[in-house]
Amino acid sequence: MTAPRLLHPGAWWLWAVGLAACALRTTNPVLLCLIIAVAGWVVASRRADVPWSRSFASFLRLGMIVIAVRIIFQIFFGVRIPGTTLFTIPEVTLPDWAAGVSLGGPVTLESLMAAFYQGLRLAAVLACFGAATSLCSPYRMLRALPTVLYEAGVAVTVAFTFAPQAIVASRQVREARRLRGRSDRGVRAWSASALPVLEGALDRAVALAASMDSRGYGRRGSSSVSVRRRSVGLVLLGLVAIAVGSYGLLDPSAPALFRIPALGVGAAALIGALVAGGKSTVRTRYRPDPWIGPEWMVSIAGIVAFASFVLVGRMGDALSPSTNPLEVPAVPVVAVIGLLVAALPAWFAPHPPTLASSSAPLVVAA
Amino acid sequence: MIRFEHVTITYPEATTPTLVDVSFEVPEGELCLVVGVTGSGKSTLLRAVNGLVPRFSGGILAGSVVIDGRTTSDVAPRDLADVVGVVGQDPAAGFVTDFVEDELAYAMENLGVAPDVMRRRVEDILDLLGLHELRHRPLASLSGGQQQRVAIGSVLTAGPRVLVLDEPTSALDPAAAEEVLAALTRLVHDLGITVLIAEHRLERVVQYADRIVMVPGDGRPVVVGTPAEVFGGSVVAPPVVELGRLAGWSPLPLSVRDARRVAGPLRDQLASIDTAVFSRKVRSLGDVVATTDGLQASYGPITALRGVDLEFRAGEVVALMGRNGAGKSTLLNHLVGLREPVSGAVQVMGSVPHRLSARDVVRVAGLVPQDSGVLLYHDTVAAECSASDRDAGLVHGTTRIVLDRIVPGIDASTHPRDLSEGQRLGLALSIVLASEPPLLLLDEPTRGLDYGAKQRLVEVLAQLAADGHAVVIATHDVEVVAAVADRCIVLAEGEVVADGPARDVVVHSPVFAPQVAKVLAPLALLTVNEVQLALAAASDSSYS
Amino acid sequence: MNRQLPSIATKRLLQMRALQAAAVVLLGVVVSASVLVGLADTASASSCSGPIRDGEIRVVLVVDASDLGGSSSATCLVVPAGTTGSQLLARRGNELGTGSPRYGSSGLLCAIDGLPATGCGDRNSGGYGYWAYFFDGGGNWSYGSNNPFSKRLNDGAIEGWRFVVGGCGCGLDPSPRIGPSRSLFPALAPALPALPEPPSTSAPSSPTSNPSTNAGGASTPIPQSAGDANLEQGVGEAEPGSLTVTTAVEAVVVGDVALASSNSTDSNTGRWIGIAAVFILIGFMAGGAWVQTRRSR
Repeated sequence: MTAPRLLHPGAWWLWAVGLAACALRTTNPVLLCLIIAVAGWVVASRRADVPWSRSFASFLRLGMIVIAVRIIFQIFFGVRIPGTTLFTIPEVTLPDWAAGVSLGGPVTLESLMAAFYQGLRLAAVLACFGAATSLCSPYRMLRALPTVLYEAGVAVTVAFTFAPQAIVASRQVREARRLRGRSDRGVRAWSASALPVLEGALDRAVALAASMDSRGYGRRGSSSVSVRRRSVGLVLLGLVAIAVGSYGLLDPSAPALFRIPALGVGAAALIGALVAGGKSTVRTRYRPDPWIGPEWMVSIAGIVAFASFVLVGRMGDALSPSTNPLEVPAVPVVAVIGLLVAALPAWFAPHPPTLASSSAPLVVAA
Repeated sequence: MIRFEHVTITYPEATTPTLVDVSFEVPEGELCLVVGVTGSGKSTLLRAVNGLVPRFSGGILAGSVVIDGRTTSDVAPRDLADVVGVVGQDPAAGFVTDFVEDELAYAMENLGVAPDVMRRRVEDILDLLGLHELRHRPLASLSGGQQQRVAIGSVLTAGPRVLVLDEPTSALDPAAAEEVLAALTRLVHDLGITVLIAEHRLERVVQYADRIVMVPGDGRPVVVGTPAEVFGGSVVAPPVVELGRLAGWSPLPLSVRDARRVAGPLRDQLASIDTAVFSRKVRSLGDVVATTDGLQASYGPITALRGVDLEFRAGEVVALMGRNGAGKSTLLNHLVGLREPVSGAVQVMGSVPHRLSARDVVRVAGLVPQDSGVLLYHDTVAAECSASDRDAGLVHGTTRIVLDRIVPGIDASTHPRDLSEGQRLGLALSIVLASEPPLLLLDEPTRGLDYGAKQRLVEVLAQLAADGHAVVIATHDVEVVAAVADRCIVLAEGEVVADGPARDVVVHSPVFAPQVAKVLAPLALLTVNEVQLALAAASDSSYS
Repeated sequence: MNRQLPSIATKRLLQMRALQAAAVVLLGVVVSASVLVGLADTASASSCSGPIRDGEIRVVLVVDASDLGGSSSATCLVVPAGTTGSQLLARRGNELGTGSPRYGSSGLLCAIDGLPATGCGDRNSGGYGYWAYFFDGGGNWSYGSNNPFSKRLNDGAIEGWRFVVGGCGCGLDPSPRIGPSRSLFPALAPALPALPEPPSTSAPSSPTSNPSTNAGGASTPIPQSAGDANLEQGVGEAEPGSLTVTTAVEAVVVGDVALASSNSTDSNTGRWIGIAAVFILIGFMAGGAWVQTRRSR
């Protein structure tokens, strides 16, 4: 077991993206619950004791809200395929121009289960995302980005820190309401606390910006304006091309030009931007995170899980249990084994440094 | 090194300029102290040094500010990062990263310093500021003094020649403040860095200052000079200077050590007087207003208060002192019912505060929190006052009258966030006082207040105690404690370490004793006022 | 009034309890779902040519699967008034013994009578392969772009479904080869007095292995021609297929109990075992995570 250190954030993100890709491929509720459990288990085992590590629970709560909203939508607006009716909502006949939408009607068990499966899938993706944000610091992620994307990444990082700070600030403001003799419960308290919280967030953001600016953030090297414009243009072109190529891959009706060639163009543009842009910014990196054995292991665990799901998808349709007619979902052993492999980082990734071991070095190799 | 040439700064939407025709020069290697009343423009002056005013705040800057030969109007703040380092009041608000070592390296990363040079400099700064044991700690787990030192270190790694600090010790307890000031003086004397520091608690810093810039505010010209020149004639001065003026010492002493050297004759003169006579007239204590009985409080696994038994009576002013994190804020939160105790009981006027509804609790106990701005959420001062009148069921205008008594001269249409610290505290205090709670709690009210505002606060608190309120004030400011407190409670690690008359607790303590007590030890005199009374009595008795 | 602010420990306890309650509710839903799946349903209908009770209507459903290698058929059904188009399809599948139609997760109709065996509205070269919906618009087929699933049927309605290979998903797609005409309805026998009969909802049944359509008490032979005969093109020449089921009052069980066949029972038991094993694993992980979180506080 290696000394306590923080893993390269890219490794955790690759692992989380692998798990999320698994979740997107299936609506099997058993597998989705297992994905959420694996994510939670790894987070609980390898979470550092820092403020941003508590976000996983919030993502789980968000997932439950998503499931509830999806089921409510299905109850009111779902397509009325016959099945085992549970209860009936008074039906509202819409005029002809809206005849495609059904409002009300009998609510069947099959449709609710279908809605539940889809909501659960979204909740699993959210849990994977929450696991990634809990396990690695947004700032270290930012530092690992190529320098040309750095400034865009800063906005994302500051946005990441907004939500936890806003939660703390809103609690303080609601307590302060109580100090003024107004109730701190109920809708009024929440809505009245919104403005002070936002004002506080604005003040904090300005203070943070002043601090960063005073420490030299945003310095440009001696490169010319045209070089910088060229690299920014290449980045934009690359992002657009990759977006078009991803859409083309997912949509069977897109012309072949919009698939692999678009992705190729996008990748080439981005690499060109990185090469060109890397010369123009002056940022250096202090003790960058190394990418060694444990990082490989964690990333490969995520990729193995994804591969197992692809395999199961080809072997049958256990990944999409039917809801009409309702059947007991099958549990493919290969997928379960793949997810258990994805849980291995909970044992084999290095421990994060805790306060007790704070004298240990932060990185293994300089 | 720093040169202001006829600088006039006007903020947007302001009718009068904040600073008018300021010209002074700070040579290299000096520690320059900027003093002035709350809201007088000290922060503006400091932020103009590296160009944050007007680039970040907006406004018009006439004249020029030249730092090490570079003019701020030509160069952006980010390009001055290797010359000027700026540290704000709240270091946590300026932290970008999560760990100490990353924060120290951040400025160098921005400047594109080579990695091996970065390693060396980080190690140097860790040693210089005594942070090497903290290097792997998350920033959120550090104490206030440690955070302030990390903030200083994070700007130092870029190698600036000028360091600008805006009230670095206001949130710190005395011991932590000493650490930070010691680090700053080491920088000045060992490295020859020019330090520009704004501070309200002059008594801590004035002994180290080589130059004073006094900003009177209201557009009057600034006064620049050595401490002796500036304080000789000014009204606002630390207690040791006032004592020197009273006793007629010349040159005026600036530190406790200098004062003790010349205080011999004064001590002899006062030795024959029974100083107990000059202790403040003991107010007649009324009924018990609040009690805590075996109070146990915790935040998650951390026990904040252990078995605290206290009693507060009407008419007394109690000072709650202790290190940061000793449990002072926790105790106040429990007294006002924001938190529920794990075990033990809290009673205020016969009822349990955390079970009362919000409307009822403000009639028995009122708390002005540390960040008084969280109490204010209307757009203008006038709206706040009328809302407060409505909530408490008072005649319209009552709050405004109280406000004018505490902090006079606030424009009714100002946005509360634009008020200065002292003005905001006054507004919060007047809102809390509107419902006239018998138990009044203040959490660190003296942060950001200059001597004049502190004096007014002391008068207000004394008047409130005379009116029958029980006043509890949690503070680090030993001078305020010496001026107003009848009783002093010292908390450490959640337990009561000392609880008795203020004079007994405070006089012989090296940490909590006011300057006058330190100068005149072993005489038990706390303030310059008492010395004045004692001198008068001594001259009377010498005649009789 | 009790307005105490709960400490952090109490809040977390409440959240844990809420999560547990939600988990129990979810589990209950899943269990009851599996139970309900097995429930049979009752259906009874009058004959299309026989006496029609009050509250019942006659509709004809034309299904054209010839492009898939199946056949075209027109089925006359007697259904309760206000039946929706989707319930009609399910009833037809019940009564012909071909099982209820298969739907995709988004609600798209994938297969009728088990055709096509796999896929749902897949795209191939030239267009979509899907079941197109048509309705009788004054003697001609109109392409249905409104919602067949919520449309309530009237007496004498004719509905049509045709599997289109390479269609555009629009009104240009070909219509069923059997045209809509009144001759698809058999002649009516004189009406009988109305019998109280609650309308029943149709239940999905998994494709049954034995397509028995009458059970006990069938009194009339069934001219079974639906779906089997090769019907010719053209209006009015097709032999309407009709079904008669017993006219007795007693309820008739149509279709098999879903989980009755021995094969499916075994595989379902195996699946439940697998599910239980995975949830035990999840329980271990959740418990371990809980313990770790408590310890690290």
